[in-house]
Amino acid sequence: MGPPGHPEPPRSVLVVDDGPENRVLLGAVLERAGYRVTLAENGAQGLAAVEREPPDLIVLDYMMPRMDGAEVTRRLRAGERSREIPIIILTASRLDTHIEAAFTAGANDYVTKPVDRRILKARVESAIRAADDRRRVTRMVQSDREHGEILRELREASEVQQAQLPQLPLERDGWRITGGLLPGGLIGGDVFDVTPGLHGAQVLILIDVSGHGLAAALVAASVSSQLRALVRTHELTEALRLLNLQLARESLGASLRLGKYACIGAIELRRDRATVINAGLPPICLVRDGACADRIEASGFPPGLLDDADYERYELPVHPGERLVLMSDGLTEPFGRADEVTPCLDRLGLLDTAQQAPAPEPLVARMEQLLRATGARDRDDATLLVAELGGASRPQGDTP
Amino acid sequence: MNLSETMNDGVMVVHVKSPRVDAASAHEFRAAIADVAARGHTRLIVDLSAVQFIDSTGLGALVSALKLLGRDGRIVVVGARESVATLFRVTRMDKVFRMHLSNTEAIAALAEGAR
Repeated sequence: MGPPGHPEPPRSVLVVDDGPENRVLLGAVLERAGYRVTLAENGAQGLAAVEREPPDLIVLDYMMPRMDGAEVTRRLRAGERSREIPIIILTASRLDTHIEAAFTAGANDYVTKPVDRRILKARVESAIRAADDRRRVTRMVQSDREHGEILRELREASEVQQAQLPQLPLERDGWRITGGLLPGGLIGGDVFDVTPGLHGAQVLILIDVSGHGLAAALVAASVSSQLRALVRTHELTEALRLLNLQLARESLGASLRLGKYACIGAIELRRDRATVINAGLPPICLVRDGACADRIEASGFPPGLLDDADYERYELPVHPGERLVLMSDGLTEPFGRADEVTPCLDRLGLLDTAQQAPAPEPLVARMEQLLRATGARDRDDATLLVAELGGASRPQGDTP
Repeated sequence: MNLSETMNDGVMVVHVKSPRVDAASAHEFRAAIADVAARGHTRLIVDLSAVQFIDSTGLGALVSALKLLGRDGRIVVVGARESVATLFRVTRMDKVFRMHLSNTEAIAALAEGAR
């Protein structure tokens, strides 16, 4: 049974009073009100009782031999475990000096003797409630501070992630690479890379790790660096096969439970052709003459999902003015289907090959506009990469 | 996540009743399949006809659920609408989880696989 308003286990009150009759009386009043009561005969006993088991509140007589109530209060306020326990001082007199001394020592309230039961009960209850509120506020402030720290760390992590992405636009061997990443949150699982491949080729990579947030970002960073090393010395199909083996091995531990895997698109860019592989991203399009002339999709399982996987690559001849576009499903998802790339390309103005593809900034602005227009809530990261072959490095024998 | 189970010609059918299978419900889905696997079922039909949207996390949960069923485990999917089937196709998961229109078709496919 608990006092009114306290359906939880009974709250504990320690009564410290040198008068035996008073002790018994106070104890009886508080027990009847539903509190669990401990009695102490003097200050030293009281301090020992608090040391053993800190109560929810202390009722403390002011006038006691050897150690008075003010002194006991001072010692309690100096103790780590007793600092916050509310203390109500009992004073026989209305002497302002006693009351003042008690408050100075750190008491929360006072009750004059002879004790009015109703007033005592009301003050005890209100002091316990006030202490509960203080604790709750402290916890809130604490969690707010922690929340702020986590946010700051996430912002820093996001800056690190952004800094690791290549600066677009990039010009490589006649190819111009533009695009951008629109994060769904502070940090996410989309990353891209432009990195050297076999025989002097440049490899354009887009990685979209399943899920959101920090865990996805950590997996994305790891996948990105593994793949970067693999494409330097292996054909794309072999690089993805090896990456899948590595990820599958790693996923025996934590990430299997988390179900983390990576949808990856990679394009090896050469002077007149491209080798394309697409493991789980929306179709990669070759845009020619104002339309999506070729779509590459489902070249193999997204790495990390199944233990063993093989990949197929597509060789595409590419002519000046043509472009390859790859995107993460954060851009297509609001359209309801992961393979709906043409409406996306159209609304981003990327089907028009008469014009050069926009620079990263206006392109990201268009992506933002597009996603806003679809009214998608809980947006995923959205990444778009465009590689277009410029006219200047037109391959020999190919005339417009 | 809202799931229900029925037996159809001796095959366990798990009906996913939630319209979305995503990060919020993936863990629950996996736990539900773990429970089914613990009761000795290795071949399941997952009915996705009520599902309007499945994201990459949901797909990951389905693969993870398949692994829980063990070496002989098989999951076939019935009732996937086009938007859901698309995700299976681009990730090639339609090669892992065969798609069927009806339970009858799915049961026949599972029986064939068992031989």
